Amino acid sequence: MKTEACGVSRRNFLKFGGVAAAASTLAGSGAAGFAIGRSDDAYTGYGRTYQGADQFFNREPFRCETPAMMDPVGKVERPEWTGYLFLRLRALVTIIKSGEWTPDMGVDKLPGPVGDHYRSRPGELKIMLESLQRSVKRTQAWEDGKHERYALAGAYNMAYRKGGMDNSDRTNRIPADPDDEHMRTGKPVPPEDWDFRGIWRKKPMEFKSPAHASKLVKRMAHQFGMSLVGIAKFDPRFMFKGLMRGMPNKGHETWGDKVPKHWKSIIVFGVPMNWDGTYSAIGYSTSFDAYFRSRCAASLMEQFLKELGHPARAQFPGSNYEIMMSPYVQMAGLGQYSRAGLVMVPELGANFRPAAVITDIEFEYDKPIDVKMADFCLKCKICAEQCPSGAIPFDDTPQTVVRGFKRWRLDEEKCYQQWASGPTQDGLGCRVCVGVCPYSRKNTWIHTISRELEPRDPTGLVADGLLAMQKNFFKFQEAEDYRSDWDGGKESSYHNPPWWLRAENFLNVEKDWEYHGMD
Amino acid sequence: MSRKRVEQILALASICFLFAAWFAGGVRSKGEILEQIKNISSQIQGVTQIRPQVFEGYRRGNPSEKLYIGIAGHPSYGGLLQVAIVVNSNQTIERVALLQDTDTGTYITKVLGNGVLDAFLGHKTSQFPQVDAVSGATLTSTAMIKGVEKAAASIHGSFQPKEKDAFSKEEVVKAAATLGLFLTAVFISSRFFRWNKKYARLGLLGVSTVILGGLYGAQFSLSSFVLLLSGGWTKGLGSYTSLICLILALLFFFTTRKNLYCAMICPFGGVQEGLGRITRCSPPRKREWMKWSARLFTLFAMGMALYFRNASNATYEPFGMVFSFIGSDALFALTILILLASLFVRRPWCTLFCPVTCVFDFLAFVRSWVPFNREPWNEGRKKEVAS
Amino acid sequence: MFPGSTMLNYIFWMMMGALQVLIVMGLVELLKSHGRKIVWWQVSLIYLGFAVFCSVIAGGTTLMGEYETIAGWYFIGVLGLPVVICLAILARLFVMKKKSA
Repeated sequence: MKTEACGVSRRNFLKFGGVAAAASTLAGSGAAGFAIGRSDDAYTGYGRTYQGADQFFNREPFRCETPAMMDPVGKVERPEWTGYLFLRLRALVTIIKSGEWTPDMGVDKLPGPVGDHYRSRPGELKIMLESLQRSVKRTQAWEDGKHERYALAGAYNMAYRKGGMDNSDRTNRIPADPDDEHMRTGKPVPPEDWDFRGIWRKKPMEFKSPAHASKLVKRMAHQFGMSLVGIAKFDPRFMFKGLMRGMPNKGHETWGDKVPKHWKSIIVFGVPMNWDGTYSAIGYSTSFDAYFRSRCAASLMEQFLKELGHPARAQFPGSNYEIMMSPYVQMAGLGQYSRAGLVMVPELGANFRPAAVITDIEFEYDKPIDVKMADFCLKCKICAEQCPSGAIPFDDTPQTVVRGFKRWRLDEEKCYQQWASGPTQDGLGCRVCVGVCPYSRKNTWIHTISRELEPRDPTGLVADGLLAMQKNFFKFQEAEDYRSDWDGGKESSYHNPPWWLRAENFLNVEKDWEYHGMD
Repeated sequence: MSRKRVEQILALASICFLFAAWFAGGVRSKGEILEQIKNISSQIQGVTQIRPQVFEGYRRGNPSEKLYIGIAGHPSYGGLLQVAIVVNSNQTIERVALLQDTDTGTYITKVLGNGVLDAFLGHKTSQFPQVDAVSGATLTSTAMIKGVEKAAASIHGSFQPKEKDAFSKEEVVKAAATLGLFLTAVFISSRFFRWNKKYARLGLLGVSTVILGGLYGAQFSLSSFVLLLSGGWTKGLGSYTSLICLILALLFFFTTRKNLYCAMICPFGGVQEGLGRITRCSPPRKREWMKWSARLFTLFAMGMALYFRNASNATYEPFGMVFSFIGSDALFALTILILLASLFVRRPWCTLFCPVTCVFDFLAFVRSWVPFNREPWNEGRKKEVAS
Repeated sequence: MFPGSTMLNYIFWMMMGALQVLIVMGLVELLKSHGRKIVWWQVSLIYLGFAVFCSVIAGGTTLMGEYETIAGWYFIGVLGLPVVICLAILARLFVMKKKSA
């Protein structure tokens, strides 16, 4: 019979198996109990982020010396302050409002550094002037009826902007800005003054070692609500020239290329924007929920470091910077540069909005990483196909040399033109590229598998497979369809907006529009 | 009236129906071009024709700002793909639009989604950007790119005659391969073939699935029938392989009195048969109503395609989906279901739904009116398939 | 997975684990009823195929959970079909009665 022929009889199998199963169950229960007690999820009110658990990607296997596209191919130049679109825009509007120059006078007569900027870039002034006109149309469209459809999205956006970050009567901005102080008092506020204000200790407290300093500050960044944090050495190559908040006219005429001596390190941190709203860009998305949290953390970090006796200066969004954020985010090992001109991070994809604090503490610096995200951009091009203004380049490989580095260059004038023309209240953002990027995904196990497997695969087959799935399984809109209806579009979105942003779900508005997007 | 009499009347009625649809379609499409131009952009007003293929208008609200519209077509998957471009007086392309799409919707979506037409926007007509074709929809993208180039040239007034790239080396190879497959099939089914017919048939089917289906994606479908009937191929096609395949299938059907295509060459049939042989399942029981509903559906689809002058409107087969992932979401679901069903019944699509089967049935029936026919075509096929 | 509960997650997975044992035992019985020998690597292969199929379903439903419903269906269709075909091949080789010579 069977019992003689096989090694283990049915009865024995069940007996020993049963005991083993019982033992495992006991062990499992013990382990489960322990894990529950220790788990981050037990911290009611203080979720995973505060425990640092949202920085879950192990970067160590991917550390490298230089971030992608940051090996200079020519002489590295620091950017002029006019390179920063929002400062440039403000200056241009001031010139026009003062009557000093009108568009029909042509780019050759445009005065000052703004004129120099546009003269060296033929064709761009035209786009910017067009954007200004479109902004007027956008405001009109908002008043005519879009304020009903996007009532909740607009209110959510403004809640952060006016209720949280920027009560900009020059008394109540978070973080405090030295330019506000200068405008209030009329006196120049150089960084040697501003960065040290509020320090009461006669001597700064010393850290046991740079490694101790890094560990503490990173924990504090998480404690202040930031999902990701990294620390880099302050590299003055990426600081604007002619820009220092707190100096008269922001230092445009007087500051030149000085670098404050106490600017030694930069702590970079940030959070994602709300996921479902971002997937329903343009009209239902906002940057400000993330900006607000990053700005709060910047303000808190500034004050924390000053309490320990060290000078600190926040660099924060919308336009309160002396630096370009993107290179520092890369050098702090948080992520990689992409086709769309954003820095992508493994945990959040393109959905990462950073702020930073510059200080003089000596830290153990993070090294940049290479998780093959930039390589994926070579073949993917989804952001370029989806960009409603065509601002993202289609080049297979990075082609444009900008200030000594060869990378993909976003056409910022075209991009801003879409901001100015979208169905939003304040014209401050489009964000389609952020939502459609394959890396911008929430944290589930299937994305974890892709995220961990793809950079470790030397053949590139995993990336090809993932890209094939992305392009064939996921349906996208036509790029033009994202635009406002008065601009030739359908106000489509990649996903339809979440229930809590649909005005018709809560307010007495008549739904006379169609959703064009996935649910 | 005998049953055969009824079927003969129905057959004649079908032919009349198709002819009527084709005729009505011709009436419909005249004068549509001008309407379509006016619909390209709400920004253009006052459109008048100034040359063949070239129209002039002005920007809404500004009569002094002239806009030029050029139209051109280029042979593509399902016939002539027509593209219109809007050029301003600075010779910059402002808008590109499809006037008439004869290709499957998803080919077009794939190509448009890849920004092929967008890449031209903002460029001067004298400085075209380098635009690559989209893999998996090469014919459609090439047609669009060439269409834009030709439309720009016609605005300039320097229109070049069509190049004959449908006769490239690759196309000749494809045609030769198709002919080779059919000749092999004839050989295997003939009395000169002395070896194991069952394995030879399966072998040829396998080879054909890989070459005609996987490599070329050139399997013919109902839309190929429509293309043949409507004469759309006379204006030029991007690739003639599927049409050649269809003509050869019909030719050999009439001469050998056997449907060699379905039994030995059809790639989708090959896929189903391969799956069925894993589980050794038997063919489904075909009821009478299934046969007639499939035929009615086929007739309707062909009629619509002829009426709208768009051969791709007749496509509801999974062939494109299986080999090139082209098709709607509904077609995808249908394809998966059929492939799963192939594991449980033998060749479910062939026996229950395939419009090609219906057309061959029809042709066989018509042929049976001719006195010299002795062996019904499907007897031979049943024997082949059951072995 | 179970919001508001800290324990249910672990209980759920423990039960899932227990069910796997039942599945394998059932597979063994099935093989016996078809008169086949119980070969351990054959049973493992079939179970592996089943497990892969479950993962594909889970992956597709995760996508659906992320509001990517269409992508979820495509995922299940395109990746699930080859798995089902492989399972059919395994069934033909290891489960179905052998044809008499």
